[in-house]
Amino acid sequence: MISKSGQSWKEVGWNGIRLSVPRSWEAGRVGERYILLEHDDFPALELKWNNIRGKFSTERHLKRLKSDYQKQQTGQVISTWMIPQDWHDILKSHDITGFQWEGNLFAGKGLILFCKDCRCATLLQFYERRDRGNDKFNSIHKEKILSSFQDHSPNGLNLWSVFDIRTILPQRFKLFRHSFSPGAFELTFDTGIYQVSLYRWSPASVILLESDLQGFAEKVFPFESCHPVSAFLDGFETIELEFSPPLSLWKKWRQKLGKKPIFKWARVWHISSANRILAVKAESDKPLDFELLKSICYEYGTI
Amino acid sequence: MSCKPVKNIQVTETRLETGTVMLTYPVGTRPWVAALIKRFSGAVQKPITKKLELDTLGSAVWDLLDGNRSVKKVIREFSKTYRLHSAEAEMSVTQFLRQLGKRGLIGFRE
Repeated sequence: MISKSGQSWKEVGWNGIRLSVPRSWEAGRVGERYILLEHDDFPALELKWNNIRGKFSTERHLKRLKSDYQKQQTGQVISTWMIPQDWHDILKSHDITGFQWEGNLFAGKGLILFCKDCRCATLLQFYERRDRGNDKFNSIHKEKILSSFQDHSPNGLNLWSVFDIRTILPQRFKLFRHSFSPGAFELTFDTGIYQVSLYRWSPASVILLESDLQGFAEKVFPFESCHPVSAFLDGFETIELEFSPPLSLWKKWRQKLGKKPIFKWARVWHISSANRILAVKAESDKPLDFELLKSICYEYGTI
Repeated sequence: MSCKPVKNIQVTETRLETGTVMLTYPVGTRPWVAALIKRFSGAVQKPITKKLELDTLGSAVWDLLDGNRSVKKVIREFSKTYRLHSAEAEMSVTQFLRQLGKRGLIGFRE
């Protein structure tokens, strides 16, 4: 996606939040409901969000924010900020309050957004390097980012797109665990019935020096007594592993009592053009929905 | 990021059959340990060396350290070679260089 200004853009999606940002912006830190995007190793945009159960008060949140900054003793003073009318028009479905702060290196302009439809409150702040100032180009960026901002999906599907992985999952997939270690990414979701994990390893060329894809798949998913099946799916070398409950009733009961998931399935595939290995693993104590899992694999990819 | 990592001249590198690099570097002993060894063995202590075998990725980063490339340039080259995400390459290279620095295998110059 290239804008009129020639700037290339990309979509970022994480735990219900979705927005477009310049392609050069990279996730610097990612939490369960937090994302910090950086540009040239400096913070550019920070988002924090949460679902509000009771009554939402912007003043209370602003007060809390001020006291948080005071506790951090950063010397930054937060004050309310008059939001431009254009921004109000862009975010007309939200209650908005603006704030600003100034530090030694950075200044920030932020918004507290509250969506009455999904009851999600978001703290969104743009960082500005004080030595560079806030030019017109920058403000066009901000408007574009704000106009792409979504805190709930209209079609019941959430985009998950950070670093170089991208997938679309039903909203009922709740993030259970995530880790972004160099070389190995993992996102685990809980649906209440299954636990589905998405993995990404790189560089594949180095990982596959030690063993072939099947050997790697068996190492990372050591399912008992399973026979890996290898195939070419969608043009990628793929290994599928499956473990179903043993036929012996005694073993079946023993596993149930041990509360171990008794249905396990994993698909591992090698995208040689991107030098990545992707995998989807599902575990449950109930039979797995293979159609759903296959559609998850289909949607999951690298950017 | 603009600092240039420089290899310690006391480190000797050996290329293994697998293509990876084995580093041999001297380790200084504490004076009181050296004095004890001298007293009990009667001999002057030979310099102690340690060996460190780098994995494929570590060897690739080591090969990029020519004393002229900055950390940023090393990260860029490493990321390009293995088609890694820039943030991921940055994290792994800086961690690795930090470890090499702690062992005294490299130094940094402006």
